[in-house]
Amino acid sequence: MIAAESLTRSFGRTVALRDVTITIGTGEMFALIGPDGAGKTTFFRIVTGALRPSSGSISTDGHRSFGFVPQRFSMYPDLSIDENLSLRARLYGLDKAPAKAKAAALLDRVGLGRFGARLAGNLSGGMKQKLALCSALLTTPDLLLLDEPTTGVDPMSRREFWTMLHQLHHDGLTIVVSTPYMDEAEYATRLGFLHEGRLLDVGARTEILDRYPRPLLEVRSTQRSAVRTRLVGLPEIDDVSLFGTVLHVRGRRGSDASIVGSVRAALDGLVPADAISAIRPSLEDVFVLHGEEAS
Amino acid sequence: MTPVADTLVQVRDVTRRFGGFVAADAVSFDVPRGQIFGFLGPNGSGKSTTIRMLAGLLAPTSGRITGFNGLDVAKDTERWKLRTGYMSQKFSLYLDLRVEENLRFFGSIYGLSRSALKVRIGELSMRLKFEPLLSSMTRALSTGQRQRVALAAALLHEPELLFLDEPTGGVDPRGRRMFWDLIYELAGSRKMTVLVTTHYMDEAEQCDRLAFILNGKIIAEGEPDELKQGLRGRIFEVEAHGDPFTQLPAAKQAAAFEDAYLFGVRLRLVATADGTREAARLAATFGRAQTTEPSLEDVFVSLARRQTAALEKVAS
Repeated sequence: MIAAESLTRSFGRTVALRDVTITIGTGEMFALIGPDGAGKTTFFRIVTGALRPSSGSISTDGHRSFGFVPQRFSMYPDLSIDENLSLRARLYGLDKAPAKAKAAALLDRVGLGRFGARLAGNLSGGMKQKLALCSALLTTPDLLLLDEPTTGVDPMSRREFWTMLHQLHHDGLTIVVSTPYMDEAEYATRLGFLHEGRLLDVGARTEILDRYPRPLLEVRSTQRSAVRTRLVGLPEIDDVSLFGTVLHVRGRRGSDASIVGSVRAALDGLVPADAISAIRPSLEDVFVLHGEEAS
Repeated sequence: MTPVADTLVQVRDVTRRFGGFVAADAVSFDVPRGQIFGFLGPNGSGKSTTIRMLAGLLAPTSGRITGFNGLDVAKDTERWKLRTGYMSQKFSLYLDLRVEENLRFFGSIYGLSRSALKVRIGELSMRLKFEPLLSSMTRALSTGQRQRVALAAALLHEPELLFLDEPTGGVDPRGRRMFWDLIYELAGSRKMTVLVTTHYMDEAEQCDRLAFILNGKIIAEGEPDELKQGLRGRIFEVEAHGDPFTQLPAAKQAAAFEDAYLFGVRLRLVATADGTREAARLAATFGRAQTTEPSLEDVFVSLARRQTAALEKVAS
């Protein structure tokens, strides 16, 4: 279990974390989401012990050891995959033969088995992150911390990386991961939204979605810019954003039903009524709204 | 493939080798004027190499790149560079200069006069919402802020063609949204042409046209909708009975599916081209199943898998 109590950390005049209180239970897969500069990395640095809080406390009672995959690639680029892992094993004082077997098994599991002799600096973005994951798992931790592990990684490698995380979670590891991908955040048992150092919301995905306080519609149309032009001026509408191929239209207040009528009327002749419907928000809708309300 | 109406840049049989490694292998395509052209592919597939050649920053080993009504990047490199802007995933500003100093430095490279530069910096800093940061040290900016300043640097000389190499890597969803709103505006009102690489498939959805590159070769090209055509009717989304993760192995082993993975809290299954009937029957055994529109991520993974399988077949 990770228990943070009124955690605050300042750097000079900048407050990176403000009064963050949170408990992450053993066996959870917890996702930390928030914009750049929200304090996600500072949180990880405090949990790993690399940084002391200015005030408040943190405990990781019950966890034997943790593994950490930092945002920035932290392996030696001029050492091979095998050399990086054997160096790590020696630094942690692991016995040579079992550490070697463990490293080989981990590399096989992430599909890097054939590349042991390749220099870490010559790996693609996805392979680098898989190596960093293997390195973090070498000491057999029961808590795994990952700071935006899939940023800059292509969709195929991203999927392989997450398949591995699911497996680890299923095997009982406690996982805390930050990510800018809302589809990844959906996998988590619970999520926390950080913004400018504050924890704005914590809960299971469904709880967070249920708390969404605004009416929300989806408009399916290929004439996206025309739709936008007609809707942005309406007093009851406060945001029109593109979500993949559809538009999400957010109302200022009231119920979904209250804005369906006015949106349908405004788009009359451009979009058929049945292509305009109330929807349940996605995590990205929540993210966008939190960001706007906080700033 | 739909024909391209009005071509700004033509790429023909362009190859680039680094020693024995072929980073781009006989690449050919057209960049349509005024459109947003997306370039997709796994890490290390040759996207950045191709963009750098198109931007005139790297010479091809062979092949030809022409455009702007008669320019050839190899012969008219300097004129070419004046008509194009380039912003890369690797942050290119000087961290120990102030934001405004960085912009003045880049503007002077493009030969902008002091007065023109002042006007442009004013315009762009307002539009990209970093005006209050003009006198800040660049080092103190967040990733999203740096990205916007770097974009401004690439736009100072009002290029007709803008290259963006993973411009939103590491930027949060709200920052990405702001960035794309702006790209849209530039492409729409200014008739600017944009060539962009990205790993975010929701961004790829917003491109007018896409090319998939793998191992240095273009393996598919077209409008997002065309590219999805081959997978229509083959994607099943399942609200699983119980833990979807425990059902994955069985789904992966079934011959009717070429792919099975978790998508958020749902199970997503991709039927083989001739296995849709059996796939529908099987999908229903895992939970509440329905077919759904393919995403570009499905297209991406399907293409990458097919190509990898073909390569392994050749190797064995």
